[in-house]
Amino acid sequence: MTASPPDGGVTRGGGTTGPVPVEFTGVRELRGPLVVVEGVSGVGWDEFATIVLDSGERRHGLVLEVDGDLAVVQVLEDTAGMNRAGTRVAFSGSPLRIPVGTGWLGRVCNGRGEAADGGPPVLGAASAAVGGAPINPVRREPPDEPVLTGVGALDVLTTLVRGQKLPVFSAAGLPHLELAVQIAAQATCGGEPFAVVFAGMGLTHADVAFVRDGLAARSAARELALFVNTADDPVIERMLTPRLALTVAEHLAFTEGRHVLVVMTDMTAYAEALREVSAARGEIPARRAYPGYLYSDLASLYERCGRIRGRPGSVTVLPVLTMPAGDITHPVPDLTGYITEGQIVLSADVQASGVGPPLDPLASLSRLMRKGTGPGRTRADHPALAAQLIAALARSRQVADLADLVGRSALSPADLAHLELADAFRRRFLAQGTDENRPLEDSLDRAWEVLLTLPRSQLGMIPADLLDAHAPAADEGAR
Amino acid sequence: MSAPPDSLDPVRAELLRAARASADAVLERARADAGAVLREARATADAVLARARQLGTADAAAGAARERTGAAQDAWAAELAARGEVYDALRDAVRAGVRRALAEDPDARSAVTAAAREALGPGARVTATAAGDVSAELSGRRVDLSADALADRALERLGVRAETLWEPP
Amino acid sequence: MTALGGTGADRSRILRVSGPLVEIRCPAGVAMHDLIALGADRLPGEVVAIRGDRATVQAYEYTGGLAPGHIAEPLGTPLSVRLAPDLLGGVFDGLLRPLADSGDLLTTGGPATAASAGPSWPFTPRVARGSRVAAGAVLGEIGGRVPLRLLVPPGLAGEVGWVAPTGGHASDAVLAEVGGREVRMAQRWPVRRPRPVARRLPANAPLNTGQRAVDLLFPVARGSTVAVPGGFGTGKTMLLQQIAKWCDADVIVYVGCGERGNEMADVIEELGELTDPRGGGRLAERTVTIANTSNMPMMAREASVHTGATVAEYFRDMGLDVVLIADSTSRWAEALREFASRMGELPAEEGYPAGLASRLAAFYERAAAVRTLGGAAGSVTVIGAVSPPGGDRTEPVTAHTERVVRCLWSLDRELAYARHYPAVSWSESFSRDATVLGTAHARAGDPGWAERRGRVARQLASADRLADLVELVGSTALPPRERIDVLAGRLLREAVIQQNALSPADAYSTPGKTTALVEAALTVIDRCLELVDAGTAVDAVEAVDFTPLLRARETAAPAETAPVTAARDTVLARLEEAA
Repeated sequence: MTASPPDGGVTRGGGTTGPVPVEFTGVRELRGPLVVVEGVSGVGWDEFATIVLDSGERRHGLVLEVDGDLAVVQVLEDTAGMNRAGTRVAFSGSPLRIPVGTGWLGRVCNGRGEAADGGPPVLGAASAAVGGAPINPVRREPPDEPVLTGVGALDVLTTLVRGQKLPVFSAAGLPHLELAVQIAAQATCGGEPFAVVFAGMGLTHADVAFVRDGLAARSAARELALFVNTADDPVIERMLTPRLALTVAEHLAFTEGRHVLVVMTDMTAYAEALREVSAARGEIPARRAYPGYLYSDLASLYERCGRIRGRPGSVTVLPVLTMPAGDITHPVPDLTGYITEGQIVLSADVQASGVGPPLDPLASLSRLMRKGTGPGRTRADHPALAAQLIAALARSRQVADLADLVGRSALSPADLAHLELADAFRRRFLAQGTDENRPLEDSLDRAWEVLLTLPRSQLGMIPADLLDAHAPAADEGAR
Repeated sequence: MSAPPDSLDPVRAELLRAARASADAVLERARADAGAVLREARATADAVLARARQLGTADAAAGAARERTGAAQDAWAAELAARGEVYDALRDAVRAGVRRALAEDPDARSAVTAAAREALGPGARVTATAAGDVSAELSGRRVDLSADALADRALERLGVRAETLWEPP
Repeated sequence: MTALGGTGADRSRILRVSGPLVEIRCPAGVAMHDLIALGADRLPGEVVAIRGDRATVQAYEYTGGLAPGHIAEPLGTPLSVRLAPDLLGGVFDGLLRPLADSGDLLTTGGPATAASAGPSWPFTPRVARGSRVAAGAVLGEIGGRVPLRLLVPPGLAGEVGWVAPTGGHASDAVLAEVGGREVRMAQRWPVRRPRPVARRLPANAPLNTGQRAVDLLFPVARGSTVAVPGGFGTGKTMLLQQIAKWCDADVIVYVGCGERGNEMADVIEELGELTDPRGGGRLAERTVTIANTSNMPMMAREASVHTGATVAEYFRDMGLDVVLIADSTSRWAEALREFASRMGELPAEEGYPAGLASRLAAFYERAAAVRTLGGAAGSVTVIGAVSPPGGDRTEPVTAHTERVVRCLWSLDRELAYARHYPAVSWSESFSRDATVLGTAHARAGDPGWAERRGRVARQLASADRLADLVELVGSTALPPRERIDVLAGRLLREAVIQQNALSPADAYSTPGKTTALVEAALTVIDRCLELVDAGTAVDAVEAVDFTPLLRARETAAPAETAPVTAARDTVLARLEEAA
């Protein structure tokens, strides 16, 4: 564990050092992930604890409640193998803090922040509380610059904006991990200092290998901090993993001045850990047995994105979650949607058409896109182009439904043109290899190419001068 | 010299000096290896690139880039492994040093015992092994003053300064 | 802030800490809702239960590090806030502590409650020394963008011993002495106690929100209550922000309760930049913003709606019309549920406490049109957002809220997906104020208001009914008049009901422009019907280019009607050509 004392892990000079840590041995009760210790004094709520087993094995925990001389500790690694007689618990005197700094870049760690790459423990000259502190709303700078992902459909239609929180809604069997890794590997902020912090929760070993492999170049370039909790790692540990990632990211952003993209996958696995602890505590469950504070808990993660006035750097959060049975009303996607600024939706229908990444352009939305695109940000034609393309795709979908009912022959020429557009959209624009880093210029030009399958009369949302500039010269009979 | 961790300060400094010397050797070797890997990769890449230019295909250029990234990854992995090795060596050395100090120096031992009593109160039941590991217990509370625990705490307090082992001061 | 001071005798000790729930040994004399300063950092908390010698305290900040044995000091007063003119233009946390005084990150201990020196406010006395005044009487006027008044505080009456002369005064200055007591510009009031009024008045004057979908179809009266339920992505916050910016109230109290930080930052920035269409100045100068984002301490959410209501009542008592916007009451209810659950209360539906319905009702009950103690007319209109989980309108918060409010603006996901904003559903919303407001409009010289509203509602409903049929058989299979009904629905939706929040011309609409747009659309629709009745082919009518009418809402400025009339005439002329 890389926990460090509040002073940042640096030895204080002179003769005064910390007191000898006292371990408490009065374990009264062991239940699920909880251990109840008696005879404690001076232990505060939410303190970090170290638990030593008979065998000498060390585990870690958080104080969930203190009542008189009793402390209830939630053990991150679970209580398996612990007994009442040989278990000792030491309290750190403060909520969990970790070292922060650029030392995390290029490192691969487990879900508790321990090195998993053969290197030494990650050290840092400063430390920060993993719980974070809310950004003062009046000190927030509204996001207005893009993060380019090199994924054309995202960059053009659902632009990610620095300081935004934009989740990927997916379902089992869809390539959300591939997309997340592609974004993490390719994302840039126009040449400004950049870093990615990737938090994996409940990933299979095959997934982990895929992630490490896909991000190896970024890691070797010291632009990536990777935290991985695998499916067979302790479930409760997942509650820590995203918080470590965000704490590291906040420091890189607001102290080191980097633009940081935090990818967190799979948030559904995270929420399940939360539910498990809640059940063990005997709390009153809300929807689908998730705790009533699921919204606030998710918000305590997602809201750590943003920019701060007068400071360089930004934290952009991209949570990835799988909707159980593809149900968007499930509490995890539903509450996520209430907190985040839009969503990227992957669709089984698009996947079935054999095109990837299987984005549903109509269900996807980046609410901050308006401010992060256009002249000086992406390209002057971008906002109008994106709006028109979405509108045309919406019409295409209606036409496709109608064609299913009444047959193609009953369609007007304009309707038929929209069917062609949908086809061109899939083939020329949406389809992109997972190792293809598409420049924004190329993506925008492809969007034009797709749009111009429609006659000019159908492009009412694009100002005439833009149309003149982009419509093929042959059509105009000029140039 | 009142608290035992303090009595370790000179030990720690000495160990750090010794560790640095051996770390330098390990790192030297690792960096030389990595350097060789990189040089080799660059040579291969250059060859591939030259061939690519000859053939005028983009594919080969991408291949060269891949080759170079791969080498950078290998070099970084080697560097990390070397750092890990150095850190482990430091920890082992600190543990051994503390163990030796406790076993050989009766003053250090009594200081540790006194610290145990101070932490738990005069009634604490203090146990010491022949190796010098001290622990104390009193009604549900316990302090661990074994050589390893003391060494680990010392190392923890060393914090980021341990990085001087692999980074130029 | 302390009333009892720090004498050892009054101090108590913490016994138990479980998140925001803290139990302390209860000293004699501590009353329900008293404030307690917890631990060395003196975190604020409120007594919510007393059992034997233990008191349960709801802490308003993060309690990490708080341990049994730490000090708990009763402050002897309930949770109160400082009310002063300088609230206008400010941004505060849930306990009304100014956020401008805090750093980039909010740490425990919070911003100071102490007033900052601040600018001075122009004061003009309106009473003479020696006159007798009762509670609510106007002692003087305070200048500024919004006409403010210094009132005799509730519970005080007597002879004016002294009153400050005309001139500038700091907001914490003593401005008068009544019945031997000092009256300051800034006053304190406990947030959970509604401020007293002389009597409630019927709410019968329209609040013009500037949003046509609302003003035309589901109008709200000043002093009434509205709930705005909508799933995520339906544009709830956008609609409420538009109303905060453009409605014709004197003062807006905007409570962001458990919502997004970036959104709060955005609205704060916009209010500071936009000019108030009524009398110039910045919109921020008539707005009090309470920002308690979703990652700020949860229990302060619970206090924030009461804090907001207290601020709203303070300005109402000066004879002003105030709109209190709470986004979102669901997050407030979640804080209630969270705390009830930690208290071990018996849960009712979905884990919410059994008292949820009455707590919701009590909050909305703070809305009213009133005769103030001083005899002026003032009002507080409450608009609360509701965030039903999974869009499920049967869930407890939505269901209980729907029963207590007078208006419901239900946001529809289908409309939002079709990028139809504001996505106020015309089939699922209601306004119980519509009848009385129809009378008010008639009295104000617009007798056709109720009839127009009815016509638009009928036309939209019939278009919806036909839409299902069109999906099955195609529009060409319908009889001519029904095809025009389908067209009419589209014209009303796109030319009148939809509104572009991003367009300066269309962001809000005055009653005059709204009426002009409705009349233009209805005139065109009537002409279409006449033409098909007279034998013109429906295809020809449908092929007419209606775009000038559809664009009129964006070509005419918020208070303009001439471009709308011109657009109507252009389209009418085209119809004649098609005939």
